[in-house]
Amino acid sequence: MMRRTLLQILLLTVAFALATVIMGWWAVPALAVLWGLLTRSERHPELVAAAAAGLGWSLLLVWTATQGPIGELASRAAGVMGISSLALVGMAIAFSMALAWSATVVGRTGALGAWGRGKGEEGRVA
Amino acid sequence: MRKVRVGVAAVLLGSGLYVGSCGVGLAAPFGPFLDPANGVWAVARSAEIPTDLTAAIPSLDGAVSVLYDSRAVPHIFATTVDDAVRALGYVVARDRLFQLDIQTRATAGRLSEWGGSNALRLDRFQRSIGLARSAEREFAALDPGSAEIRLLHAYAEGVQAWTDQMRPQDLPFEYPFLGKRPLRWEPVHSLYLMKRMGYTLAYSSHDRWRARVVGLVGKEAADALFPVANPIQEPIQPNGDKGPRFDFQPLPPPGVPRMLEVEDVVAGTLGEFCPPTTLPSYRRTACEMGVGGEVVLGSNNWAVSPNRTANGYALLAGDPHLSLTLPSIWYEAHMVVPGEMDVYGVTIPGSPGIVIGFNRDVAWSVTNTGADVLDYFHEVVDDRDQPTRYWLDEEWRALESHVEKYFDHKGDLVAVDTIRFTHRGPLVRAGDEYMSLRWTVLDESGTLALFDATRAGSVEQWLEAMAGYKAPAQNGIVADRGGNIAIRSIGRYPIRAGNGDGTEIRPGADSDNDWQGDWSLRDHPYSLNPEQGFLASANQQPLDPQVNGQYLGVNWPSPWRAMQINSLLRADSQVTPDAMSRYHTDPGNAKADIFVPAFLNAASASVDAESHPELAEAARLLAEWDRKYTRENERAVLFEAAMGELSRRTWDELVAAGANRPIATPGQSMLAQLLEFPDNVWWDHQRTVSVIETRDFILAASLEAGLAIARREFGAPEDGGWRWDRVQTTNIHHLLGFPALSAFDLPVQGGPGNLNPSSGSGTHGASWRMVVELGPEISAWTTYPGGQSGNPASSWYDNRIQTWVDGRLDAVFFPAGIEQMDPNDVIGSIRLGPDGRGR
Repeated sequence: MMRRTLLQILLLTVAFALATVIMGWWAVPALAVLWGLLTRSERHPELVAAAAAGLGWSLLLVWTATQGPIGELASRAAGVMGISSLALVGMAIAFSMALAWSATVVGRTGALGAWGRGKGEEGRVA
Repeated sequence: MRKVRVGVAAVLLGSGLYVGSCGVGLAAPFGPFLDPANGVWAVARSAEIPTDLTAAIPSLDGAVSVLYDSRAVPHIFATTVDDAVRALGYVVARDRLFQLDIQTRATAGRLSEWGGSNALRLDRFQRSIGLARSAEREFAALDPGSAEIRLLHAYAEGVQAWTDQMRPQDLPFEYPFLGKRPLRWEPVHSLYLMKRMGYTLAYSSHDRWRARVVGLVGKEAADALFPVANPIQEPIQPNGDKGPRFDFQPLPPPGVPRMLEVEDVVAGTLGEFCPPTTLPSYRRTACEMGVGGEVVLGSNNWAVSPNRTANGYALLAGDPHLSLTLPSIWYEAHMVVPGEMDVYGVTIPGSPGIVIGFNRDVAWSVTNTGADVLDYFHEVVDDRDQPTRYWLDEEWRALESHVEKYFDHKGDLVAVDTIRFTHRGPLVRAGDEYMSLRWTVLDESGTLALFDATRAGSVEQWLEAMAGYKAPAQNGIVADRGGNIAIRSIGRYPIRAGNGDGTEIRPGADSDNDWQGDWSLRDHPYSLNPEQGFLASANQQPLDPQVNGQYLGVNWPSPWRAMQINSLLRADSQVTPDAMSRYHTDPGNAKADIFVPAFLNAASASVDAESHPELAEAARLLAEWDRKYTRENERAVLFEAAMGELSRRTWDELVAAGANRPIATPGQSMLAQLLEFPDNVWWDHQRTVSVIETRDFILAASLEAGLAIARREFGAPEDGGWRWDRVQTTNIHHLLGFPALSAFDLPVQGGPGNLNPSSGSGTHGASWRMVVELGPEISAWTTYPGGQSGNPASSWYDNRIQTWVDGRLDAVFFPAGIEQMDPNDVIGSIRLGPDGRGR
């Protein structure tokens, strides 16, 4: 079970990262809704999505750091906003996680509403 | 529980999507901003100079190579002049796109599209004076086949090529914050820049406050306090004197305040036309500086003939002072077209060529002339609220009008104005009255002349090319390899009707009051190879009125800087490039040399130490000063505080009843003049009816008060708080005023009246420093307070500031051809071609 979850997170991380590069930030809620629709019978798919989105965006930040002075940029940008660099990084990651979590829950709820609860779903979704 | 969770998720998703796509208030949408692939983070990926970029400018005639040297200066090697200009547009856009955009929007009055209602007043003002309209008219009037229009188009093609090919990471840092995209650059926007510079340098509304001074103290006194001829003559065009001439005359007593007349009311209300500023970088404009007082800003340039230099070659220094911003107003570049052009220097982003610099034969720089090139005319209109006609030569003339619409950051229409024009210029409302504005800046600029001059082969050719330059008027200094030096006040200077005086608001109902033409070029302030062996300008009165009494302007700045640079140049007959470099931040101050002895004499003459211990202490402290504004000196603060008090106490007659500050303040050379007349009535303080104060009393009291102020604000003199570099620092604001992108509290050497004047607010200063030695090979040294890149994450954003603060210059690399570029000194390159394949 754990291995399956980790695999899901890994694949979803790559998916979030690639989709963000191609589509921009909208990729996160879009992909998460889709994830919610597809995993209506899964256990806590919203947590998987949130973790993957956070990791996906972190991955992109790390990749950017290899391409240019992201520390200086974070310092300047955070300074403009009156926050610390770390808070700005945290804000970006938290934003992706919040979008992914909420979009998955909403997507899953929509799926459940449309198709009804699947076998074994009752009692699983608190 | 499930419902609650779903509810929370729905609300969170809705909120996230809303702030992600719309933002909150003026804040940019969060989504595109925080996006790690395409948002603000991506800017880090384009922070550095490209090591080997290949790109297309479709209109190029051939391949162009751009090599960046170790100072991040692009050297552009092209085969045609048009291609070199296209490449300049490209590299400037790459490094300074946001700057191009904001200065265009500011001129066009479109900042509220970014800043909402915060910027609306500024936009309305900008549009009311017709800068963008005049640029559009000038552009429309250009011959489609002219060299100028080719130049403007070539530059725009370069800028557009960059913006068309931009990747997400190339979008400048500021746009993700604003949630906006760049304006598309059009050829006419280069003319917007010229108008913008005209507004910065030549928008002086002295007519308005002078009328109020006349109302308060009478015309005779007003004329004497704000004279056409400065009482200290150290003109740009040498007058044959070996030093400054002091034409000191007693000031006539103030007249009795009279009832305000229409012109006074109009003039007073015109205060509204000093633009309300929202951007710190523009906060001290020429308009603000125009309200009398001492202009502590100022540009310098000087040149030395070979017979007074150590190496026997002509030397030239350029030192233009402007509002300091990050990124800097200047961008350093080198343009090479074999056989056609080989020019190095600085351009202003938006200008299709080098503005100040040098080529293989000639070097040049400019200072602002500060001539009176703007007049107001009091107009009679047919309707107070919605005028459609104005009265001229016994008949009604139709006003030209057009509607200006203003939109906010959301694209909503927030205001509509009708801007009206007489044949003279824009009509501005002042209370219930109207005035039209006649201003050289709203006419032709003469951009092509600037460009042609960069290809001059001699002083003579440079002057000839610059004959076509119009506005804003400048003092152009030039030197060549043949050992010639020259200076001329270039640009248009209007000839006025009647006595030619431009100090008063004229009635607009009679066209006989219109400008009668322009000064002939032979009358312009000018000197070629003067006997004294050097030339210098520092915004002082260009012509000695005893040599040429034609009206050129009024209320000229006190010539402290001119006196200082001329004094240095007179004293040194073996000038070296190093000395030229040091002069930029020379701590000597001609003002202090006049006023310090006056304070000390007054203190010793007025009182004994026992009865006035504070005065004695102030005099003791001031006497310790060597009158040099070094960073470590601890006495300039006392002197400046005393000077402030001296001005306040002396000019109390200029404070209108009920007001708490003077309506205008005469320059410090007027105070220097007054020192010669110890019993002049202006020394008397009008509030002390029973006592008649004299010079020494006011001087002593000012010095004593200065000590109290210095102690109050900076502590005891022995505690270290009086160190000049803790008191007077320079602040360089980012174009949007973001503190995190600005540089504050820079400890520069200099002070009010110095060659490095260091203004009170610290936001102005030496925007570019250059020394050129015109030997068989050109040698040059330069710097400016900033860096080549507009990207705050770049190591080239502010890397030159420390060099600038230290008063040092960098040696310039000036290769004649691409083969002279040492690969070890090349940090990056861009290959440009019409199809993306550079050579």
